[in-house]
Amino acid sequence: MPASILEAHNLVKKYGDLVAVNDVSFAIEEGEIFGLLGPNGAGKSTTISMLSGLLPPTAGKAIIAGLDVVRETAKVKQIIGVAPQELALYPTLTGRENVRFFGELYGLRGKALIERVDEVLGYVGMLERANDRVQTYSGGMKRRINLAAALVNHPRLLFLDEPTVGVDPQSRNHIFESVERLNREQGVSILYTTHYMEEAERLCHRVGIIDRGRLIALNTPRRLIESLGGGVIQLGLPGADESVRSAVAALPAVRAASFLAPEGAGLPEADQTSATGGQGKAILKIEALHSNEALLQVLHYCNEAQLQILSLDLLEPNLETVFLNLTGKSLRD
Amino acid sequence: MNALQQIWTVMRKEIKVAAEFRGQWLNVFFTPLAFIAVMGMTFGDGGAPTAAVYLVNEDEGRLGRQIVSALRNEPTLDLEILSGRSEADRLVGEGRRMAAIVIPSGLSEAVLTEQGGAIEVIVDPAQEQSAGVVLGQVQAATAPMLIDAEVERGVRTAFNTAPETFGFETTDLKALGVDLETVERFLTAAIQGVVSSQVQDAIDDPLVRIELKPASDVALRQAPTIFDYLTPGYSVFFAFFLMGLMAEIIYEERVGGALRRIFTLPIGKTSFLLGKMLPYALIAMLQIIVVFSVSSLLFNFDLGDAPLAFALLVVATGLTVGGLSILVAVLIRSEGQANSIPSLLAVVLAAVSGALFPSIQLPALAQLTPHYWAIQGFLTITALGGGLTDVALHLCVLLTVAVTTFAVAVWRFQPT
Ligand SMILES: Nc1ncnc2c1ncn2[C@@H]1O[C@H](COP(=O)(O)OP(=O)(O)O)[C@@H](O)[C@H]1O
Ligand SMILES: [Mg+2]
Repeated sequence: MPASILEAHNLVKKYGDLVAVNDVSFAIEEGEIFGLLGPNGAGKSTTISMLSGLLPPTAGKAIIAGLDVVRETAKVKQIIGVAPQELALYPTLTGRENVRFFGELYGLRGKALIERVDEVLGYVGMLERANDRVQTYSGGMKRRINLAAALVNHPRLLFLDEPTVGVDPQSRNHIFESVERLNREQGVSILYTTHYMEEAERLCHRVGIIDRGRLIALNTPRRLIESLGGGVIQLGLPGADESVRSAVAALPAVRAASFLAPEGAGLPEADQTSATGGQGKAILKIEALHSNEALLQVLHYCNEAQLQILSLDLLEPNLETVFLNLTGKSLRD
Repeated sequence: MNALQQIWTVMRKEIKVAAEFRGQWLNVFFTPLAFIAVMGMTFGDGGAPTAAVYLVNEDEGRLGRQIVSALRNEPTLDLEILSGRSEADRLVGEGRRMAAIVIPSGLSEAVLTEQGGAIEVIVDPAQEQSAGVVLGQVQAATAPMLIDAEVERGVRTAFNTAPETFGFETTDLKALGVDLETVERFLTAAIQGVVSSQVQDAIDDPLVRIELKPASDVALRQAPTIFDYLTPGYSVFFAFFLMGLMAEIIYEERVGGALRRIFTLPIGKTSFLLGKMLPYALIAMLQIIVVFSVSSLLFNFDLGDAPLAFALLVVATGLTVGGLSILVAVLIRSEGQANSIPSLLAVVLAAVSGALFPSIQLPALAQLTPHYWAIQGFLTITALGGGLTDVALHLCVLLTVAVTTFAVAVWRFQPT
């Protein structure tokens, strides 16, 4: 079993009453690309801040390469690289000056610095434009410089916080390829956060799903999707009727059925009761053991019960559906 | 070593980023000169600002009256006549006016005695610096009549002790039809003419003293000109506008995420803030040197002759500008604050400190501003001929402010 490069033990971060990160534990193995998938405000950036020694945790601890992040921060900082979610660059300096600045802060000097700066700029495909000011770059080019700056110290563990936000498709692909090459050719371990499920599915060996500060699932993308069983069906009905729900849940090809929170009500806890009271459409989420059979049985039941079907969705088995199944919400607002 | 290199790296980055803000540089370097020129012309070249003081005349003799009228003709003194010394003492103690000039009773007679007499200047201890200026003005205004008094005393003493040394016999004079008193008056006038060439000596070593209580050991070299106030005042005032620039850049680093990234690197808060603060401290020093040099060239403003003390004061002032500014910059949390607080603070501090409108009389509150200590320090060197020991207190206060504000900035700084 490969050694863990990072271990997070019961991390908690509170801002007053708000619990931004709530008892999060996971480990990243050496050479692994680990994804944290969750919507905005889930606590991804806060987790990275605690893991990279920027923010002291309210409780819990983090170990990187055997070093305690809080007690041995200086050593930890030498072996990690962080590309923050914000474009942490100086817009009036050139791409090269930016990367050079961070290289110098790591203690690189002279020839070693010049070579390494060129190397990472080449790695992200930004050598040509390196001497232009960052403010003249496209969003994607800025993201690539942001990544280059995180690589300048040869990190063993790389934190990439939503590295593709505001990026054109071409740069996006370039970033994906850079991330994959770094991992494959140099064995860099990567913690990759995103709210795009396609990215997590494509890049990550394992994905942790995070919502409202809690890690609610953790597995390979394939296993997470398999956990959906036979798929998810969403049925639009004129009202949320408990007898309908229990009848559907009792169908042989159905594993579970529940009403989704109505549109606009953020909290899933504000669940069926609020959906029942409304006059509008209610969405019944049906987890199937086998989607074809479940679909037939559900349609049959509705027909028998003379229920009007307002809408019908068979959800693709992907991480988006996994998230929806776990939280009753969609990843993107 | 690594920390020093990191500081140097941050300094170079900061200068590159700050260099983009051209308008700010214009503001910091040229606006003070423009203000100094305009204010200098408005107030008139060489006109020292007026000092508001009380005057108490307890002397009933001629000398007392002469001194009062001489002081009244002194344009740089704004006099309020009081009848008693105790009232003056109380009001000065309350800080109402910066000093009281007291002509003690019997001065006219006392100056004719061996011991001589003294004019007293009661000063507010909190404004001792400025009191040196009043002392100079009293000296200047009263010098002629005090010399007269001295000559008179000399002649009288001579007559009273040994009239015969002049070779006159009372009987001879009677025969000539003149009395001793006329002779005495004639001789006094004659001798006064001779002595007037030695006026300067008498000022240097007067038999009639002007006493300052409590004494200030700053010797007045010349009356301060308007530029002794305007040059340090506006130089320091506009140097503090660097605060706004610092706040703006650090705010952008905060929202842009640069701060978050920098502190995922192995660099300490102290190194980082030193690297951010020092460029502005150096720029402030450069600005002071430029403003003083140009002011000295254009307005004939005398820089004094204590280059070491001057240089140390430039360094201490620059560091204070850096320290206080980085503290404010670090505490700012929104763009609105970044746009308003630093310039508001720069103006309020300058106004309280007396940097904006030259005045010898300042509220005690002024001493809470670093501007006050910088301005008074420079004034001590340029106008009062002071040296290192005379500005030691100013240097200490400024360096204490610089170190304290920087330490608080490091303590309160939150990169996230
Ligand atoms: N400095 C802070 N003070 C107060 N609340 C914060 C702070 N930083 C983040 N939060 C809150 O913590 C939660 C998690 O934020 P964040 O970690 O940025 O989420 P994500 O990166 O997943 O979008 C959000 O509700 C956010 O508003
Ligand atoms: Mg985030």
